[in-house]
Amino acid sequence: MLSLYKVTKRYGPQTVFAHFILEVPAGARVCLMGPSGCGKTTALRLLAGLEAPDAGRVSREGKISLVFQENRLLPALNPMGNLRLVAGRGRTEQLEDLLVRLGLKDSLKKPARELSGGMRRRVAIARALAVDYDALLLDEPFKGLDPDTRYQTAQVILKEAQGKAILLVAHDMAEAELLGAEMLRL
Amino acid sequence: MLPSTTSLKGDGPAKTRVALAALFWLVLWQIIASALGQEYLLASPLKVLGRLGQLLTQADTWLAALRSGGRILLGFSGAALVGAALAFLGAKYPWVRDFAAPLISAARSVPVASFIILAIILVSTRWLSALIAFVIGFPLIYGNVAEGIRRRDRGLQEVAYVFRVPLIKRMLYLDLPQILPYFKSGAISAMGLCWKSGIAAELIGIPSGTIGERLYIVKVNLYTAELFAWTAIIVALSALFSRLIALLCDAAARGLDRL
Repeated sequence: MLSLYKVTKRYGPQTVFAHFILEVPAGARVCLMGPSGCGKTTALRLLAGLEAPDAGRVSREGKISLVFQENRLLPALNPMGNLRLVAGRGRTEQLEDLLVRLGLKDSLKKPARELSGGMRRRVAIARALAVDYDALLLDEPFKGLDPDTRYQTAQVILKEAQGKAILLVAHDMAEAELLGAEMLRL
Repeated sequence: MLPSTTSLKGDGPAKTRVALAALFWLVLWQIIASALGQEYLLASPLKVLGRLGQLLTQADTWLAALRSGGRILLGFSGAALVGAALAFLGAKYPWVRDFAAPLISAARSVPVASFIILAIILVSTRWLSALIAFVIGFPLIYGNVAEGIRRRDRGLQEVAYVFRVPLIKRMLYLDLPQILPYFKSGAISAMGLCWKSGIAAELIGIPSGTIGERLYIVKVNLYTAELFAWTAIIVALSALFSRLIALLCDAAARGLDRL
């Protein structure tokens, strides 16, 4: 269960949102939509513990995993190296299988800096799926992916995050539909 | 991309120009020295070269270089260790940074000569150059490492936080590769300054069998040719040690990259 209860967040004089309430029960899939700057990413950052609210209460039960808006990979490490950084030892076959299912079979040994934008995006998604988590936060996860790859990636996410809470930030309704998420406009 | 391309194209002619300029100044030096005709005022480059050759064949020269170099390196190593450790602690605990601030500020602003005199009063002249190298190198390395820590990629720090990356992994994969270039730059500058201040300290404290003592003898007897020869040795040693530091840092960076 993830929740923001009457949360207010300001950056300097600008109030991003005030007395905002959001609840994502365990196993639910919710998509936050709205214009740029309305606080979608801020809501994810608050839930991930990367920001503190100015007022109100943030609560999360269990572990969080997050696909950041930017890929934030280590450029010198290959996809497996980037996954190993967060996933720990063992599970090599499982992690490799995850990368293969995301269409990265031919890029397993290439440093992240040599991958295309779409490939890097999928490595960032694989990293978030590689750890132990109870809720998955996705900030525009399909950015830079073509329609086929979006569909393929969404299928992997749905399989891996089965039974877990998903909170997605997207600009496009089709992305919410790909993950079967309930839409919430900010 | 553009600056490196330009530099590659201009590299050969630039080197030739520098070599020609050096030759010009050497010839001018030779002319002035010959015109003066007073070796104790200004020894000619040829005389200096001859004296340098003699010095390099004497065991005493190498022993003096070993003693001075060893002590300066000891002081530098202490400065590198304490400076880096304090920078890391200061980043983690702000009170450490505030506690150390007056010390760093004093080390940066107090004249080296004052430190040398104080050190002569407080400690044996034998370890004077090590102590001065430490005092001079420490704030430089501290400042650079602290800057490297401050400028780490915030995005990657957040990745480490969200994914609960263990401390050792965080250090090896995220922090050290980003901080190492700052350490390298500080260490190279510090090494040059440690040599300059360490030898200056020896010149004032005159510990026996050191480069400083040899320079003191040169000063008293106005052996100008030997002064230039020793200067060349000091510059060469300082450059050699700085190069070694750069190579070590590059090797460490490559090692971290391969992990």
